[in-house]
Formats: sequence, structure tokens, C-alpha cells
Amino acid sequence: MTLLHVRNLCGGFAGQDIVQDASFDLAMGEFVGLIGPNGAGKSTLLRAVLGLTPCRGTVCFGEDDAKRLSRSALSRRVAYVPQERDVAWAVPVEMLVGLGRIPHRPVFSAETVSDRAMVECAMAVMDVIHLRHRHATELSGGERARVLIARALAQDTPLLFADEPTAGLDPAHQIALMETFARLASEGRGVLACLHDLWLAARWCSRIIVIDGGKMIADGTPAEVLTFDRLAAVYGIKAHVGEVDGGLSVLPTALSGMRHDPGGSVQVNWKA
Amino acid sequence: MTAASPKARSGSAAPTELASPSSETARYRLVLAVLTLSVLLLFIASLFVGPAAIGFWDSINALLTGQGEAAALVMREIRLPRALLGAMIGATLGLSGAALQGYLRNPLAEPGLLGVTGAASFGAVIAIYTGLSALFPLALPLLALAGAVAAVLVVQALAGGHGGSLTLILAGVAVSSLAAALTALALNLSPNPFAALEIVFWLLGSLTDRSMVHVMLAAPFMLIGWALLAGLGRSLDLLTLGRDVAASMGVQMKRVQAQAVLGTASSVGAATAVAGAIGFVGLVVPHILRPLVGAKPSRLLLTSALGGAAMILAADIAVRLIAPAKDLKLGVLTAIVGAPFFLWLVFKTRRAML
Repeated sequence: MTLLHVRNLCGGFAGQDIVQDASFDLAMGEFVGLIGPNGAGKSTLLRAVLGLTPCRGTVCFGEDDAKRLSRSALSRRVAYVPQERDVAWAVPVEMLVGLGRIPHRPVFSAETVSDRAMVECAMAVMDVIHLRHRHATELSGGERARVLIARALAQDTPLLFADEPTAGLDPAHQIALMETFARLASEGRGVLACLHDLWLAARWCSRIIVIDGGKMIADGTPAEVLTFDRLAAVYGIKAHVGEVDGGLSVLPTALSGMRHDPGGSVQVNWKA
Repeated sequence: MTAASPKARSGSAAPTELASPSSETARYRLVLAVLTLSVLLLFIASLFVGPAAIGFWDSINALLTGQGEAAALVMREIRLPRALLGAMIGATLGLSGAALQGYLRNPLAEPGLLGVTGAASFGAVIAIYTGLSALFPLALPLLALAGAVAAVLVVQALAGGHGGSLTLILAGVAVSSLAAALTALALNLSPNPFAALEIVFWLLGSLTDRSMVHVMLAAPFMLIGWALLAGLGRSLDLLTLGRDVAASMGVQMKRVQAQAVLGTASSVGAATAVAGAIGFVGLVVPHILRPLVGAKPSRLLLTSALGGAAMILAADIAVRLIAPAKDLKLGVLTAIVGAPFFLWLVFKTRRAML
């Protein structure tokens, strides 16, 4: 079943299309990695689909046109973890994760037992239970990232959008996060994540969308999309693409100087 | 969802730890109870402070039954409105300070930020300057309210659309500066030194010689403002996570902004109209109370309203006790006590960050 249907989406900032003509579907069970160089429009695409930035085109959640869904209805369809991990107040971690339940509660009603259970579960999944009484503002970057993802998991939505969720996490928590997302997808949700770690995307995503210069230039399984030539063209890197321990492995090794856009690589003579 | 953490730390979720949210709630209730009690005690104390020497039982008797003509007059026409206004204005400043800090996600926000206080003061100054307030006493609060309305219309028109919080702050600063400049102009051109002195004294902020008419005038605007601000709790909690996440979790940012701006304008405009500009309460009270409620913005609303009421009542008792003959202005005292306290807070924050 299709959870998200995007057609001819253009937009970004007023008068300037960062994202140009994006079209894709996201079905139940898919864990889609959105990759591309800095400034390619990955974050803007997520924000445009969420209606957080002006855009044109069609976005449907399930059968429903996003234009006809209220903000609160939308908040029960999709949870969003942005790149910025800024928390305004020194709120205890468990209270912060508990905010994820607010979209499911009528106004002025208290937290129920099932809300509580969902929060505990989200904290357990993201391995932040031991941080529950700490203030969100005094955590390390990686810890705070996990707390904020736990908040999104507590929102318990069919769709999950995450913008560079693995940035700043240690390798164990990066792998755990990718496994969590893959498992959420296998349980019937849809996950869309912007990623820079190609090795993580190659191994755990079920599908990869490549975006460059605001345009979608490839969409397929990791093995179809993450080829030596495409990585050279998109990122200007040489990457070792192979199979390790029964999974696809992508290991960038050097700059190739082959990036299509001429401003992409600048020669600097450090000895001068 | 099932647990699949890299290390089995989830095992540390002992049942005792599960009880923690209720302990947080218990502390919140305790804070509320202590603040409510302080407001009640200070309100009663405020009724018994003043130049007229009336015995405790006589006062209560006069207040409740109206017997004993002079005492009843003092209690019902002078002290009761003063205490009521103190509590109402304090609650307004505390509540709007907490709401604005939550909305702007900034601990330095305060009710005067939107330009409402400055514009309301300017309206009052016009009433004094033109002599309207001498002919018709209610002209002063009414013109002050008109100033507040004008300010909020300008600020909301500038920041209402896709403006966001930065435009809101800039619009507020612009309106405040303009109101301050026009107030200075009125002082500059004042017909005689007495008018200038009256303007300056009014601007300092005071609760002296206010009547029940002032209470009745301010009450409806304050109630509307309180209702608007009190309804912000959930949105302010979600704004802890940033504007984008809050929007993705169901917060309609435009509506929240309109609610915060109109709620502040209505209640703070009314407060300024009857008592002048009283600073620092809206800034300091949420600061003091924030750590006591786990920094949750929704819990800070009611507690800050009570804390603000307690603080203004206490300060208004203090001005009467410190210099009974000199008519020490309430706004002067809150600034004199508030500013060093704020310095101490800055010092503490700095030490915590180092």
C-alpha cells in the first residue's frame, strides 16, 4: 500500500526552486535513503513534502491530498526529525520524549498508560532509558540525537522522515538506528531518511533515491543505484563498491575529480 | 516496537524509575499550592497595609459588612482595588512573560518586547499632556488601551504573514522606539513643569489611588488576554523542539503567533493602562520558576501567573512600608530589586556554562 505519493513537486524558498520536479512513491515496508551532495536539496525535499516550505505539485498521504489534511491530522501520519538538534529548554529527557504523544491526545487530557508505555518503548529502542532524568540540553550531540529520534518514534506514525539521523552517532548506535528503521519498515511503516554515510545506506536501505542539483537523478535498489560511475558523477569520489559479509558495501576512498559541475573541485597548492 | 539497543541498558528500567513522571507532577502540584497560598497571604496582608491606622478586626468587619464609615471607605474604595489590581497585574506580567519566552524560545523575552507597554504608556501620556485626564479621569486608561491596540495592529500586520519570530521582535522594537520617542517629545513640549512631572511620575508605574473603576476597566481585557495565553500550553511545549518540529506535530504557527500577540497586548495593555509600566516581573518570574517545573513551558504558565501576582503584591506592600510618606513608585522598586537579581541570574548562568 502506498503511504506517500509525490508528483512534480517543485519548491524551496520564495521565487527559487531548490527542489525541481520530484516524483516518487513510498510504500509500506520501504526504508528509503535520500542521498546527494551538500546543497542538493535533500532537506528541502523533506520539508516540502511536509508542507513546511512553499511548494507546488501533488503530495498525497495514503489516499488523502496533503492540502486537505489539517496540521494535526498530518501529525498522526508522519513524524519528522530535522537536522537541527536544538532544544530550547532544559527539559528532562523523558518529558521530551513524551512530547511525541501529544498529537494523539485530545486537548487538556493527561498522559495515559498506553502513552507512557509507548514512551518507555521508544526510549528503550533508542537506548536512552539511562538518560531519562538528564536535561536534554546537557547531553552530548549523539545522545541528544537519539533522544530526539525517540521522540519521533513515540509519535508512532505510519511514516517517519529523518534528516541525517546518523550524524554524530557512534558506529554501534548508527548500526542500531539503521536496524531500527529497517525493522520499523518491515513492520509496515515507511521510512525516508537523508543520509551521507553511503556504507549505512548501501547496507540497510531497501531503496535509494539520489538527488543532485535539486533533481532526482536515480531511484532504485542500493545495488542498482550505488555504482562506481554514479558516485563519481554525483559526489566526485572514487568508491570501492563490493560485497562484504553478504551485504553491499560502499567505501569511498578518494576524490576522483570527475564531478560534472566544474566548480565542484578546486585545486589548492598547499605548498605555495 | 520492541527493544533492540546495541547494549542491553534498557534493563535498568526498574519499576521505581517508572514512578518518576508522577513525582515530577507531584512537585508541580506542590509548587502550585505554595504559590497559591503565598498569593492569598500577600493579598490579605496587602489589605492591612496603609497610612490609615485601622485595627485588624475593624478592617475585616468594615470590608465584609461595610460598617464603620471611614474604615469601610478605606477598605473598600482604596485598599481592596489596590490589592486586586496588584494581583491582576502581577498575574498578567508573569503569564505573558512565560508565554512570550516559550513562544520566542528565548529566556530574555518579556511582555514589553512587543511594543505594547511603550505604546500604552504613550497613550496615557497623551491623556495627561492634553489635559484630558484632568477633565475626565477615565481618558487616561482608555487612551492607553487605544495605544496598546494600535501597537498590536502594527506589530501583527508586520509579522503576521510568513514573518516568524524575528520579524515579530523587530516590529516590537520599532514600535517601542517610536512610542518612546513620541513620549519624549510630549515631555519636551510639555506646557509646564507640573505636566512634565505628572507624566514622569505616571510613567514610573504605581498602584496608588486606583479605584474599583480601574479594576472593572482592566478586568475584561485581562480575562480575554489570560484565556488566549493560557490556551498556548501545548503549542509552547512542542515549540521546545523548534518551529519546524512543532509544525510537523500539529502546531499552526500563524494561529499561535496571533494568540500570543493578542493575548499579551490585551492583558499587558490593560495592566499598563491602569498602573503604568512595571518592569522586570515578566522577565524574572518565569526565570525563577522554570527549574521548579522541569522547564516545561505549559507548566510555567499558571505558576508564573501566580508568581507574578505574589511578586507585585509583595512589592506593593514593600513600597508602602519602606517610605509611607514619599509615595515610592512600584515600578521603581521592581526595577531596583529586579535588575540586581537579573545580574545574579546572568552570573549564575555564566558560571554554569563555564
